[in-house]
Amino acid sequence: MNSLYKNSLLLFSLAAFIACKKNDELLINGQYKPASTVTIDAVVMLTKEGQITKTSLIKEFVQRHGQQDYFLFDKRTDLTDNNSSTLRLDFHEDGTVDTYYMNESASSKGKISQRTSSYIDITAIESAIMPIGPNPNRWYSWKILPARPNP
Amino acid sequence: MENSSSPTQSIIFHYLPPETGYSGYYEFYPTGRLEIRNGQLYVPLMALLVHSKGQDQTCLSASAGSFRTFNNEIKKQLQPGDTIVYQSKRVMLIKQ
Repeated sequence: MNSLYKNSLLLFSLAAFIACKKNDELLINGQYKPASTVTIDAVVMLTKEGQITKTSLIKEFVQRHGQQDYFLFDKRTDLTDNNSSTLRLDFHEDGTVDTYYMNESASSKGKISQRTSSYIDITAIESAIMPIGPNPNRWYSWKILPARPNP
Repeated sequence: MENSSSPTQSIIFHYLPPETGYSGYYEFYPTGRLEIRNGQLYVPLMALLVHSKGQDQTCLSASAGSFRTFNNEIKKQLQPGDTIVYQSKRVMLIKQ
């Protein structure tokens, strides 16, 4: 019985290790672009007195100030932020990332309009700010480095 | 509201010799964030409206952008008359 318990514990530990390992390994390379739809997580109104989450009240407040274009209140989830829709991230094998925005105007469609940074140090991915654990969601940060000198 | 701006920056100041005529220069290191959920890569987006109403004046600003997350510490800094509306969104990154 004791042996069975030990074996079960070992098996469980191994399974947990594999699960954690799998969670850590996310192969990121090549060029990525945003999907055409957005997932909305929350809309919240904060005051010193507390927080409001009732959408109708928030919508009324935002519309009263003429700022409704920044927020999504309908079931629509299309990517209305044009700047974000042209974002491209290019992850390289050497651990660097190019990030830039594509030009969407008819005359120069497909050309890079704005290169916001030259390289991102993906090795800083180790500085995850979310703990490893049962929560599969993890946040990573990166540090944008100065442009590399031309060889 | 540091974490609500995008990207956040760390700044290094470099001193220069007096003969240059300058005291130094700043080096900016912007920092962004990606989110990984269930093996998928996401860019966090955030819409923000800040409204502040004082006795004599009212201030209003609104913005939206990529790589933004909300700094919950802001709640402690709110004064009577302050209102913040934020909406967290995220867009999945698709490999081309």
